[in-house]
Amino acid sequence: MDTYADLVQRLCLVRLKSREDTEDIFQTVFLKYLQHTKPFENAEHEKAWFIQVTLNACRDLLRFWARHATVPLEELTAQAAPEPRDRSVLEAVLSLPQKYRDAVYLHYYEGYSAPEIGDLLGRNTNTVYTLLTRARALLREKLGGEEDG
Amino acid sequence: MDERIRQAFDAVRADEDLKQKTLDALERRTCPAPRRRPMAAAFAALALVVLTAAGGLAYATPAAAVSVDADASVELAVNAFGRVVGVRCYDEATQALVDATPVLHHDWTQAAAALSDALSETDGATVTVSADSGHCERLLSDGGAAGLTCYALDPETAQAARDAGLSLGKYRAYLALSALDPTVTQADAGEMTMGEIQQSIDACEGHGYGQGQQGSGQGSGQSQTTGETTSAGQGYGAGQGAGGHHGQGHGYGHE
Repeated sequence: MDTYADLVQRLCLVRLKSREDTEDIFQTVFLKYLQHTKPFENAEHEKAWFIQVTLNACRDLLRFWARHATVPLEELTAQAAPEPRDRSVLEAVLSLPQKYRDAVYLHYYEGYSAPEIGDLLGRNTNTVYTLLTRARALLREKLGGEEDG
Repeated sequence: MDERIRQAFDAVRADEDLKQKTLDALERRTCPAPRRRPMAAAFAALALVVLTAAGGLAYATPAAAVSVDADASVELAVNAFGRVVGVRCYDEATQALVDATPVLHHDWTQAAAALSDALSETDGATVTVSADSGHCERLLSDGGAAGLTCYALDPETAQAARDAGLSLGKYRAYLALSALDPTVTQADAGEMTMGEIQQSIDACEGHGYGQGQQGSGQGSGQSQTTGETTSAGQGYGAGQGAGGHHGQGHGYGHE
């Protein structure tokens, strides 16, 4: 669990805004992992599996679960990142529209390329490029003088 | 910007409390017994609810009508288990009598016997049963075993009795009487007790038999020299009633 707990936690932060929902997703994802019988080809394959299962679980939860007890963005980022500098960046990322957040996280933190993100999210590669370009512009706007690109 | 975003996300970690809660939950959910028990308990509870509801419905549903008739009449609704689930009286006086006689939820033969005692202290009551054929036979058998004088009435005739406002037993008696005396109406029968209807039936039958069997009794009597001829002679000599019937019986017995 230690290997992928942080990954799942970050994806939950990008997708959800509730500690309770994050707990549900953890249980769902790691239960599926325990029940997964087919061997993974390698570590990258396993990581991609975790990303897809987590994103799907988050989407299902948001779609079907009536409970969306969200916490304010500031409180959420304060819980997630103790440093004020990190907090402002997280706030900027999490305030982006949902369609940009996954791509930003996967590209800037996990280091996936646009075609790889397209595979993970089931989107066209050009669409991913567009999402990343627009997200970068929005982040520059939000972070203002703090950010030089 | 890339580096700042990477640093910001790098600060996000799954805390130990979250990991432990997940591990505890997974342990509960992957342990076979706890997973099966709730399902088994749920199915058992569901089955219990369904069976209870079905049983309650079956218990409360009348499957037969039993009429106890003497000086007054009472009709019992009897379920498929032979238990009384409803009582109907035809007048207030009888209602008071029934109120003092516990019959609801009792075995119908016990209830009918108790009502028979309550409705008629001397002659006893007649019991008329109406139900589907198979069930009716079982009820008649149970009634006979309990020492009750039972008659069957088919469901269509039972419905006609209800339409006429008469108990099953009284309607059956009315049909018997009207076959012998067509001038008798349902209203007449309604105002008569079972004893009175039976007396009228006896009177009509006695009259008919006396006329019809007279020659037979007489001829037999003449041919016999045994004590039975006295009996036959008495019957015949008594006139048009039961004596004539006796004469016929003995006459045939010795031929």
